[in-house]
Amino acid sequence: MVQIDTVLMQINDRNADTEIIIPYSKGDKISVDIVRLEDQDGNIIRKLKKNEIKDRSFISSVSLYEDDFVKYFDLKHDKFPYRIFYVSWIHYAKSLNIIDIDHARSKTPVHSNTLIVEVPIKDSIKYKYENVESPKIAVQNRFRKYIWKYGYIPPSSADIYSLDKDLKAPSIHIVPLHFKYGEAGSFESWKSFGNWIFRLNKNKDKLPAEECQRIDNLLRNTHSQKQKVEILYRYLQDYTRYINVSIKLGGLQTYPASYVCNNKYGDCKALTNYLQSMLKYAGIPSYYTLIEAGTKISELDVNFPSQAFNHVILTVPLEEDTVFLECTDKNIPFGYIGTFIQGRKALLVDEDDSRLIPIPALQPDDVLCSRTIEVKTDIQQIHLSEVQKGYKYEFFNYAGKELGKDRVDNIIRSQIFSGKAELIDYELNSNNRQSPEISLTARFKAENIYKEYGKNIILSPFPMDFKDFETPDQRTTGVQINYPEFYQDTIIYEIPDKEIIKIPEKVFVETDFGKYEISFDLKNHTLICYKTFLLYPGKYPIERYDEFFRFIQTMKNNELKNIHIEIL
Amino acid sequence: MKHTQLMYMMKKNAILSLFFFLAIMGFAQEEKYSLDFGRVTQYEMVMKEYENDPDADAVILYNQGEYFYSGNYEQGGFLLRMKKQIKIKILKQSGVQYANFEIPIFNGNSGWESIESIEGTTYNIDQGFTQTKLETRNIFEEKVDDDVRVKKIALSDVRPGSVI
Repeated sequence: MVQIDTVLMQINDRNADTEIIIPYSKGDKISVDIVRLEDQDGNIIRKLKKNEIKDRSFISSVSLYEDDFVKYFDLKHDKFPYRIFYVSWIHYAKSLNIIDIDHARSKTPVHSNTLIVEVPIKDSIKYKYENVESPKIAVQNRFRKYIWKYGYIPPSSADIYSLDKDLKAPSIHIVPLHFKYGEAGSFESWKSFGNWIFRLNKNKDKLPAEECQRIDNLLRNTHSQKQKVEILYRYLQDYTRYINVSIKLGGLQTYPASYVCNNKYGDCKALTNYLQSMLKYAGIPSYYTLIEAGTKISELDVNFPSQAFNHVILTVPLEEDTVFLECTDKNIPFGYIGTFIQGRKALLVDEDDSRLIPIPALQPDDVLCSRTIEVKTDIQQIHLSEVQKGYKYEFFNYAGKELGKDRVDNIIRSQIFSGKAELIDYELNSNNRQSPEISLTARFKAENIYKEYGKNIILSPFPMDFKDFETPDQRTTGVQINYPEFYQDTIIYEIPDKEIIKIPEKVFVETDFGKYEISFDLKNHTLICYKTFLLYPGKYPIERYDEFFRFIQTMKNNELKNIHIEIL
Repeated sequence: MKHTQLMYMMKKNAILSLFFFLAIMGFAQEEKYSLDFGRVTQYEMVMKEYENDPDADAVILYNQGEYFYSGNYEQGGFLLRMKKQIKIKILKQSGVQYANFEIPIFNGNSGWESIESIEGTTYNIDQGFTQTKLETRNIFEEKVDDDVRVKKIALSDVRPGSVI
């Protein structure tokens, strides 16, 4: 496959990122034929020589090494606007998808783009497009020619929890019906694509003899299937680590299990294949499962089979239940389904019967973060006791294990009661790999939490940590909440030696988006404030954003309000 | 490479040189830490934390460089050579990051550098005493630009408890 890009780009001001990169992989043939700088009227100011086009590795931040590179150059000029024109030519040594264009994630406006795809008549392609006019199709000689044209101006800033389909961004995806990438395969159906993945990774499951012996020892005296799986998962977690080295077909093909045995590391594919191989040796079937990981769920188009995934997990059907195992995380409980993989479809890979399966969604109780805050007005201290689940658990669990103590100290200092109270000490308890929660206890020194004016007392609130959404006039998209968010607070204000006679009223709001409640109770010389906020997962069109925003603001306003009480 | 949690023992612990002399005088069994390349002590293998900083996620047991000149027979003049040896005890999960490291090499108009050899070993004791050697095929080279390349290495079989 050959791709030729002819690009004319206008640079409007000095803030623009003017570096052009043209990615390619080892084995591809690439040439950048013409590069020139033009003024606004198209007059050539400077031509770039071949040796001014540089070359460097292009390795993603999560990888140790990839055999990917870029040709790059940076043409700067002192008069704005100016234009950069270039023509590049790449002959791909291997390719799976023909092209994936999606402007939803791009911030660069496109004045006009033309995509021309020429396919030999004997070959078939499958394509889909959105927010683009239908292609013009013509037959010329032995080629079928498709032409798409579009332009797009993205919003200046991305919305929080945006519903991307409202961006109306152009997208074009084209795949070959049949391809050869290591093995021959087809995008005819999810089944054919999954079966191809199976063939690509076949015979990578041989374990060295000493590893088999180790597995025998580990599983001796264990009879339950589930326990066996858990023991081997723990063994994987304890002895391996995530290192991604992606060369040749390594983007999709796994290293053999022996690679992980020897190095005790691997990427998601290698670690998953290794665990699958160990389970196979133990007589337990499991399935390599492709998924698109990320806290934001991009809905899989079930009608368009393609390589739409960036991650692999292992599905293990058990008598009681099916477990889904994330093999790259050393610190999570067995079978924990995190915010990165929950609530979406994945492709289970089987020899002859690959299929899409749903990964269960997180429920409110799975993500409940609860805080008990004791406010000791006499000694001006705050004692916090917090149990986190869901995303916050994942974050603090990772930080507690994988980052050094200094960095965790900084995170706690900057994220909790920052600007309001000064941290005295804390304890983060993440030792328990059995349950997906982490507890944090901390003591803070705080002034100004209690103010007395005659018979009135004003107490500082402790707002829940929740995102600030755009006002409706600045919002361009609807809302997509990927998983529920659930917070509960109990705040105990100790007010010794005072007879409290009036406390604030309860507030309760319930909407389609979720519910919020704040209420107060009096016990002896303490005022107790109870708060609950539950946000449901869901997708809401832009037409409902006013309503959504009002709900969030009601919560926010009540959270930020000082608490007034009256004393005798 | 970040060293925020690492303690530089060589500079801090004067007693260490005493152990060193004891070691070369033949009291190898008694030493706590060894400065011999390719050797680890019982204590290094079993230590759970570094006594001077219990929060440290790893401790550099030694980091020594040796510079020397040698004749450049091809082009005349001299070459400056450097030999660097570093031994690290991994104490906590967050210390495993020190088993991934980079060595930049410069090659430009004003001079050049090349790497003659890289050797690495991981020692573990949790499944019996094991030594895992760094294999050449697991050393990669990233091209940063025309002048700078970086050797990228992740040592094998590293976990809390390992000495690398």
